Parts: sequence; structure tokens; C-alpha cells
Amino acid sequence: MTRLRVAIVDDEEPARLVLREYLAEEPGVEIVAECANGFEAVKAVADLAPDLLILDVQMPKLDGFEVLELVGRETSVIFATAFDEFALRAFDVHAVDYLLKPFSKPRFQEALERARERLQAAPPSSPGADAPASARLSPAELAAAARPAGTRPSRIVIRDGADVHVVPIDRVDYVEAQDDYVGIHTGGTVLLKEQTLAALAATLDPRRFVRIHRSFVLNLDRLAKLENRGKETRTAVLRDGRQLPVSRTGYARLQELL
Amino acid sequence: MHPIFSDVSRLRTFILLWVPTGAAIGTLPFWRTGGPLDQAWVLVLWGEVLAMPALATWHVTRFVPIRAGRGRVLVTAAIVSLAAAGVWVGAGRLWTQVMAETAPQPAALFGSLAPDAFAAATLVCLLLSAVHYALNEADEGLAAARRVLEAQVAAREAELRALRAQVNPHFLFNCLHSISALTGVDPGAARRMALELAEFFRDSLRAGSQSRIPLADEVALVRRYLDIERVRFGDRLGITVTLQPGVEAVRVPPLLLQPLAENAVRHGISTLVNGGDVSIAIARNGHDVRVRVDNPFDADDRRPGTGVGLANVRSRLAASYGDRAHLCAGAEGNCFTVTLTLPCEEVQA
Repeated sequence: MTRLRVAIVDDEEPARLVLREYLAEEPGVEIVAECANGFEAVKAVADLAPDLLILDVQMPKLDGFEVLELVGRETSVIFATAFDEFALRAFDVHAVDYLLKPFSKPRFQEALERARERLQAAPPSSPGADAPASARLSPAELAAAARPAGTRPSRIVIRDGADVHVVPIDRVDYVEAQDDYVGIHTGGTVLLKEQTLAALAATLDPRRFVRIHRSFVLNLDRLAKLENRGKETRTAVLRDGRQLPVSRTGYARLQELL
Repeated sequence: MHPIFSDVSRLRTFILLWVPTGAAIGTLPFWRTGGPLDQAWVLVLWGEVLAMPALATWHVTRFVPIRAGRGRVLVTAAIVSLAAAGVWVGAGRLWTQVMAETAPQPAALFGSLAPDAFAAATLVCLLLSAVHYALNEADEGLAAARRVLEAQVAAREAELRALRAQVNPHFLFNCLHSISALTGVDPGAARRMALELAEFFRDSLRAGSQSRIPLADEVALVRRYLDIERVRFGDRLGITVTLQPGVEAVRVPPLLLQPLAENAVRHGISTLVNGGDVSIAIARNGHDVRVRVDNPFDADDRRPGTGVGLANVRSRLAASYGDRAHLCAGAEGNCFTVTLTLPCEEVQA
């Protein structure tokens, strides 16, 4: 049996305490990190590449869903929460393993065993085959399912190695598709996030963010004017002077909103 | 709505009583003279019609309720009754003249007998005014009782809501998890927390069953709540509670401040990696008591709260004090402040 390398993530000391206690009695398990918030968790994943995260849902800075969004492809996750009806529904819908606080040792061992089996069947970073639950599902979909109906995320989280950027939605100027990434333009800087433009656009408020082009989603607040350059060619001029191309369907979408 | 027409059984009783009364009033004065009664139907009809001005007196008397004073009520009732009787007698004169050809007797005798009819009609109108007043009083009594009942139900609901908030599942499960965690490494601490939690719920239930509790008790409850949260959050949660001497005995609705402390922890301290201080300051301010709750929060972390906690406190304030109490909430930089202003209600000796 290979050694299972585990990182514990919970902002409450007693909660970490019980995990430490339960894990200490498990053979073949090594606790590689104890994190008190989401940033530390992302850093621990980047630096130590644990096999498994035991992840609290409600934490300062980054919540459990945001951590999953940032590291979901590299590690397996077991969520732990006390009570959160939306999160529980999302876990059930997406068949994510979770622990309800307080949890017993047998229940914990069960979840650990399942995680071990998943990892042996297909480690998260290896492509194809029978992928584990945390890689099979889209973290964004899970996070969306865990939000109360009709609400949208108020920020975008982006990982840059061990660093995490948190960008409030209203500070986003526009988003640009770049192969498998999106470039998030905010106040003159660009942050790259591994996500498709369509997937990101789906999480944004369609009344504020418009897909003006195959490769661009624009924050309507930043639009200064539309320029007509010959037939069928239009350009969006932003408040800071930058120019973005507008496709025919993009123009139709803009007209609908303006 | 006219108190007799507003209720079917009252209307039925009135009609039953009125038909013979009206007939008697129209014909009685003429019986005394011994005139021929074969033309009396003209007078019976006239008598019945008195119901209209008599009932209409209500439209005037309702503007002078009983509480306006006995004198004004009596004068008003007398004036309207005289007026109604006068209108009726005038209408009777016209009516008997119109009918003079088919019934000459009533028309001929009308002049001499009208004063008696007028007196009788005035008396009937006065009686009916008394009935109006009695029915109005009964209706108002019922409405007042219903209002009192509705207020009681609203207060009860507010308390139940507060208690429901009290047994916040998130808080309860996290506490149980902490106890479960401490059991392994520090059984003494686990026991202390279990006892604290039990005391907290016991105090909450006891407080919730009362309409007002001393401010000192509410503050003790809040302290206990924060002490329990401190086990979970450790050094991340600092607590400063200052209660100005002299306000301890002020009566407040139970569990009014606890939701504010809970908000400060849930939406403030728990969003911060390094935590901070929840500061609660309570002081007298003129005729009011002012409660100020400050807590730091992560202004960049814009995960929205539900606002249920504050809305709950607001509606309880409104139910308990009407517009004599206020709640202000707002953020400045990284500090969230809630200020509560309540009228001083001291314990009655």
C-alpha cells in the first residue's frame, strides 16, 4: 500500500485537532500540511502536492469551493462541513464525498478508504481512464450548485503557482480567450486562468458581461462607444481607450442590452 | 358601516321589532281621537317610514363618540332626534295631503295630532341612538380585543423566530464538533464546553419565555455565546464588552443583542485569517440606551450575507417599541458597526 499524503484544511483549531487524531491512528497515512485558510491550502498543494485534501467549506479568504476550483485537478478532496443546505445538495448532486461535522471515526475511515480506492484507480493528475470524482466534475459547476439559486459569484479566483489572486467581478474590464486559458484584464494587468471563455462567461451576469466576439467578453461598464469601420466591422472603444473587435452576433447581443 | 346593517341577526331583530313599533307610532295618536280606522293604512305606512330618519341619526352621532363626554353626546342625540322627528312629521303632512282624496280623515286630523306624533318619534329616535351607541361600543371592544390578540401573536412569533435563530444549526453542529474534537486531547475542556453550551441554551430558553429581561442578563447571554465561539476560533476572536453602570436594570426584549454578536462572528471574525475584536459597548444616552457593536471584517470578501439576522432584530424592535427604537448598520473601511438605540424601560419596583 502506497503512503497516502494528506493535507488538513480548516480554520478552526479543534476541527484540525480531531482530524489529526483520527489520521494518527490510520496506517500508511502521512499528514503533510495543516492549513488554517484557503490560501495556505493552495500553497500547500503547489509546494507539497498531497494526494488528498480534507477541506472545510467555510473559511476566510477562500472558501472550500474556491480552493477546489484552484487545485481540483491535482488532488482528491473530501469536504467537511457542519451545516450548509446548499453545499450538501451540491455534494449529493455531484456525488462528492463529504463529512458532516461532528463525524465519527468509522465514518471518517469510510471516507478515507473511498478516497484511497479512487486514487489507486486513477490518480487525479493522470489523464483518462476512470477519473476520480473530484476531477470528473467541474469545480465551477459544483460551486454554482452550492450557491443559493439566482446568485452569482462576486469574484474570480486565479492561481499563479502558489499565489492566489482574488478579483472582484466589478473590477474586471474584459476577458480574452487564449487557447485553453482566459486572460482576465483588470486595471491594466492580465491574469491567466485555466478555463474556457464559455465556461467563465456562463458564471457571469449576462446583463453586465457581454460576449462581443468569439474571443472577448466585455464588462458593459467599461464600454465608452462603438465605432463603425466599414461594413460589418465594428470596434468597441473602452473608457481607457483600448479597442476590442465586435462580431456581428456580438453586435446583436450588445444592441439587445443597450 | 351602520352597526345594525353590519350584522344580519341585528338587522333581523330590528325589522321584527320595528314593524309593530312603526305601525303603532303612525296610528296611535289617531286612535286617541277615535277616528275611523279604515283609513289607518296611510298612517301605518307613514309610521314605518320613520325607520329611515331614525336609522340615519347614526351618521351624525358616530362623529360624537361616548368618550367625547356625556353632555355632548346627550345634546347631539337630542338635536338629531328632534330633527329626524321633524323631517318625519313634515313628510307626514305632505303624504296625508297627497292621499287626502282616498283617505280624508288622516289629512283632516293631522294638524291637531302632529305634536303627539312628533314627541313619540323623538323618543323613538333617542332610543335608537342609545342602541347605536351600545352597538358601537360592543364593536369597538371586539376590535380592540382582536388588536391586542394580534399584537400578542406577533410578539410570540418574533420570539419563536429569535429562538429558531438561536438554535442556529451551523453554530450547534460546529460546537458539537469542537466538543467531539476536544474529547480526545483535552477531556476537561470538552466537558467545560458541553456545560457552557448547555447553560447557553438553558438561558436562551428561559429568556425567550419572558417578554422583557434586564439588560445585564442579555449581556451575560451574549458573553456566554462569545465564550463558546472562542473555543472554536481561539485567539482569532477577541471580546470586549463594556456595560455602563446604571443601565443593567433596563428592560429589553430577550435575545435582542445575541443575533448581533452572532453576526459579528459569522460575517466578521470568521472571514479574517487573523480574526479581530468583537466590541460591544452599552451606555445611556439621554432617555435612551445605545448599544454599539463593532467588528472587523474582510471588505474584499464580498460573499453576501443573507441579512436575515438584522431584519429579524429590526422587526423585533418595531414590534416591541414601534418607532421609539432604531437600528443603524454600516461598514466603514474594514469595520462593520451596528448601533441600536432603545428607550430606557426601567424595572418597575
